[in-house]
Amino acid sequence: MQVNIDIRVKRANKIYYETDTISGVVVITTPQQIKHNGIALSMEGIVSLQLSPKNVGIFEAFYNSVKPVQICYALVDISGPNTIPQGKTEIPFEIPLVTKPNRMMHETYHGVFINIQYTLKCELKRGFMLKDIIKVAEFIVEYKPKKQTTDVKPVNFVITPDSLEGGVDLGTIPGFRISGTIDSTVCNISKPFTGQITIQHSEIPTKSIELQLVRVETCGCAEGYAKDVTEIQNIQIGEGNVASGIAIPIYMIFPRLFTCPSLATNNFKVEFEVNVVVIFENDHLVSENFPIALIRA
Amino acid sequence: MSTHRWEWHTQIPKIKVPIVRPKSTLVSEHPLKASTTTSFPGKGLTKVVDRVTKTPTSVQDPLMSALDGVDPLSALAAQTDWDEYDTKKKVKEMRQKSDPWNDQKQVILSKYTTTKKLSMATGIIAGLERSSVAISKESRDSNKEQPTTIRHRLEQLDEEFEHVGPKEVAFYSQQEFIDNVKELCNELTQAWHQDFRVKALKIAIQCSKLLVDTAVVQFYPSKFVLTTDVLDEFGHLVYERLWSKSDTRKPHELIVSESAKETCRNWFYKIASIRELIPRLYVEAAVLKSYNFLDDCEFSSALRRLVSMVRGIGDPLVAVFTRCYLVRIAMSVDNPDKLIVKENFSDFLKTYGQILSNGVLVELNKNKVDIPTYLQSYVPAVEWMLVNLIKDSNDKTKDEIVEACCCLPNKGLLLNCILKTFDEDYISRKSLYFIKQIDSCSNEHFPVHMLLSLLGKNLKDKSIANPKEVLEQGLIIISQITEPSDYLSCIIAWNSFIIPQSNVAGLNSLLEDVIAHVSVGDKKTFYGPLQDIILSIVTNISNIDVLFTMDKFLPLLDLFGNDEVRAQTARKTLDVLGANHEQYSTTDPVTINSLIFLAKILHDSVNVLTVEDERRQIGSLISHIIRKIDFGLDFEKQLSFYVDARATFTNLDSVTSTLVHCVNRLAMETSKKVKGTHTKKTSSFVHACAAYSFITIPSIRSDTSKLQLYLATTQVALTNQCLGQADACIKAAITLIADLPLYYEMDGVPKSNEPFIQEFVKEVMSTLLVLPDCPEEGILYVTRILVNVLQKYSDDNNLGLITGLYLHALDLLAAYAQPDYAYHVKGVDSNDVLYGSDPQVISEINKMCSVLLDQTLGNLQKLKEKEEIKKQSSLCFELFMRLIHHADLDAQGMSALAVQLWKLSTRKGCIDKKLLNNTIQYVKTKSCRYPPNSALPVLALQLEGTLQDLQ
Repeated sequence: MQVNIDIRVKRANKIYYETDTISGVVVITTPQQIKHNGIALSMEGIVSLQLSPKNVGIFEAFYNSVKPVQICYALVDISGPNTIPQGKTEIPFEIPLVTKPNRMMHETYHGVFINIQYTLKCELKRGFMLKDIIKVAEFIVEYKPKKQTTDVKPVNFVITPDSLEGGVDLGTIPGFRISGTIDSTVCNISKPFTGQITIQHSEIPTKSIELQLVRVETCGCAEGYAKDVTEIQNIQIGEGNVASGIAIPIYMIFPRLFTCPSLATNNFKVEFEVNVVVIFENDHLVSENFPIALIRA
Repeated sequence: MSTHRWEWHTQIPKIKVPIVRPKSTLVSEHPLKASTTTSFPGKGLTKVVDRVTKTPTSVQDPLMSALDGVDPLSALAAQTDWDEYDTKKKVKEMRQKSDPWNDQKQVILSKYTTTKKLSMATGIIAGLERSSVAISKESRDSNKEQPTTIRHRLEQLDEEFEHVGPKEVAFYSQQEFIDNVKELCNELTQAWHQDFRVKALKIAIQCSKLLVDTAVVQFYPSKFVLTTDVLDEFGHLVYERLWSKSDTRKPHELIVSESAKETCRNWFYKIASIRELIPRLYVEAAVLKSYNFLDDCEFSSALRRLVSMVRGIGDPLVAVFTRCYLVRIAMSVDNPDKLIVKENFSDFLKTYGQILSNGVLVELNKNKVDIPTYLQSYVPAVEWMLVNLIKDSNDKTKDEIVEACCCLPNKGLLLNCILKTFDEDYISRKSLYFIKQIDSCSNEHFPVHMLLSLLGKNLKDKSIANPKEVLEQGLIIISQITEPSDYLSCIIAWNSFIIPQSNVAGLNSLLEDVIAHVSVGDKKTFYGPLQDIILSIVTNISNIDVLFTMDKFLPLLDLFGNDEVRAQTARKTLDVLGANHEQYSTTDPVTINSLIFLAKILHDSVNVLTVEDERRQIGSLISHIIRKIDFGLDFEKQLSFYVDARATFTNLDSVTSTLVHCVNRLAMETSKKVKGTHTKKTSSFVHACAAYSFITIPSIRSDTSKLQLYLATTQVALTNQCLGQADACIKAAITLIADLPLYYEMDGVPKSNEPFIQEFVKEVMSTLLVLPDCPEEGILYVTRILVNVLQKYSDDNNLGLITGLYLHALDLLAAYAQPDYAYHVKGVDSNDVLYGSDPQVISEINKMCSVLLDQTLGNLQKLKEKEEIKKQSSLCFELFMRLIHHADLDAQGMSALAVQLWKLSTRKGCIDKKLLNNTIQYVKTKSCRYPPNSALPVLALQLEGTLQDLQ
């Protein structure tokens, strides 16, 4: 058994808001008494951007990784040089969550090319010839829910062979008519994405109806910008040949960590879109795209 | 002893002692029979009750009552136990909530089975192995960077969802499939308890994925049961864990800790990200109860959402079972939201058309499943929905439901479930409406006969406003069914309604209809149902006469070509008739003919292979039926019926003996009618009766019953002054004794006839006393024959028996010597009147007695040689008593013999002292009536002397 450090924040859900004070304990368990040269606890928030090899060359992607932007940083020494007795020792700490000057606080987000991450790092310095013991723990930052008056505007849509983009219907597309409503394209991130869809009629049976949540990440830098669209999750709402004429609910919960309120800054943007996809028996599919704005309310 | 021949002199009373005879009264019942049957069980029962009630009072310990209250320490201990128990109970209650479903489960599992191969993704189990390794590895180094772990885990979850797709599918037999699912369930619990919760979730997801596949439609309901069991287990585990995380000390207010809430939310986030619709729905439903940890109203709204999400399931079978599961979840909480159940059902009705949509039909065709089978698979789910829908609802809601269902095409399935789940009162009230509905869907896919038989079952024992109309309409539809087995199932279901409601003509035409339907095709398969129909008619009919006036009843029975089944049916019919109509007796010739016809079928089924018990049962059944037939005062007809019956039932002893008894009874009835004095006509009738018995008895196989019947007939013949017949019968009986084996075998155990012979011969002797001698034969020739038979019968093994009987013969002869016999038969002059104590007769009697005495003494000697001392002394004593009673002791040698016998019997000390004392007292008392110098007082003195020696 070796020395073990655990960082435990007080809130069970580990969610903190700007200007909050993060309080918790550092728990050190050790099989025997150890000496150390001080324990430091640092709090850091960084935005790390990565260029997609698709947009810039593979080498550039490798080398030109955009430098991470530090949003906040704080360091406290929670203990001077001391000895830690055998067993479990708890050291309480408090760190204020404040941004560095000229920086904006963003919500935690785990994307493909953009990551916004907040961590607590505890370092136990052990002097010459001995490796320091480091423990990192992530905590989550969210915006304080604001009472915004979001105007809920339902969006209706109809998909027919005629409404399809790209080319004229030469009569080869079998007839179908799919209608639906999205309750709002401005969505509260903590509430589900809702609406409904009805297969009015379809000449060929449907195989599946799916909701695809995608993120649109844009990294801007001196050389230009790169925009990447990747799937976050795909939720099936209709399975098999569903009954026509009956409204099927559209319902999707936004996954935590992988979504955040839509974000637009000078050098990066995070946006989301939902595709409503209807797949027919012959694996042909039609889809309708809805850019959505996520907010924290 | 034997060298000297002893002369017997029967004592003839010199002083006429008036015999006081108890007054005889005519009784209809045997005086002993009634009292024993009623008193015995009563006594036994009260005794038991007494014991039970007394014991508790006796065990009251005075020390216990002093300390009345419970001592505080154990009370405290009990309290803490209770607290723990309370929380545990709560968890347990959650489980038991779905009790009605448990019953349903068993029904489904036994009903929906298949021999086809079932598909199951092999990835499930293989994948599990891999992931468990991955997880354990991961948990080992979880103390490394946590952020990456979470991320890793989620990614892996994603990957896993994608991974175990329909990649590899193996096919299993039903049992293998069941075992696999059970294995999964075990693995799930195991994983859970080892803290691999994500793995447990994965297993739950994999299980619910099984429900997507409907290829083997027949098995789907069972599959549903199996997999939802796993899901229930999972939901329960989640709930329990959250429960343990929250504060449960106060049972009524749930204080949920922040961490419990967070865990709960985590679960729902995880589940919400399941890609496929059906697993997501099922798994969320399984853990839905855990929403209670988040918010009170969350459960209802989530359930409502799930209900509407089912609309997205295209396969109607999958959808309907998902709805069924949601209903179960909805009903599993304390205050179920009925509205959700209702919405769920109306959604189901909206998509009802899907059930037989073109796509489905094509699929069915491909899998070679016929539509009725396919529709059957829906039944459990629809039923469950309906059961919960109509729980505590009034008629108006039911009306609404019924109407909503009945306006849909292909409503057969719905009707079926309605008829099955709604209460009988409601259905019988609206039976006419239902008949109309059934009629209107007769051209659709759902088998009409099932609906009709369900309706019939509901109508059972119900009184409705317009039975005639319902019956008429119902029968019209039923008779349109062409498939015989379907038709018969309907008739059986309706039976109990039809029979009370319809008249004979109606029933008859129904039977005709049945015969017409069954006459096509292989009859063998309908034997069971046909039998049921016959029996239910027989059971429900109030009057047997009416039953047989239907000219189609026996033809229906004739449909059973197979003798065995026919006999079985006949037997059951007669059984029912015998049991249901205890007081019934019939004179109707049609009924009699029919009953005899049935009995004949039964009788003819008896053959060499029939086991003894069976034979006995059949015999008693036929006897029972024969006794039921009663022509009242028409004795002649009754007798001729018995003659016919004898000709019909020749195989069964018990029936023949019943017939003899019946005829004897008939003779006695006649005698009762004429009050003992026969007219010419009745006299010839009773003669005929006696003759009937006399010639019937020899056909019986059992010797003992032959003997008994002969004797009974003798007695009856005597009572009816048929002296010739009586004589013949008793002679036949006596000669038969000689043929009776001393031992017979019963169930492999040898049994002795000795007690029977003893009793029987005694009874014969008492009958002989009143039987007058035939003038052509010698004096007491019948007795002589009897004694000769006994002598022939005797051998070394039955010395005791025969000697005892000799002694009884002495009794009889002594009785013969009396001037006035102890009893008489009215209208018959016994020997006392015939001979009037003629000296010649007396000397004849003395001669016979001497012979008997000689034989007896010889036997006693033999007994001594065989060293059966005890028997010898008791017989000696008996003989001594005979001498005292019957012999004239003043005659030469008699008293000397008496003394010798006395000595012989007392020598070994085998006779009870008290008895000896009493005997001496008796002899002394008796001797007072004799002059002091006669033999008896002298004997008394001698005896006293010996007694002193003994002491």
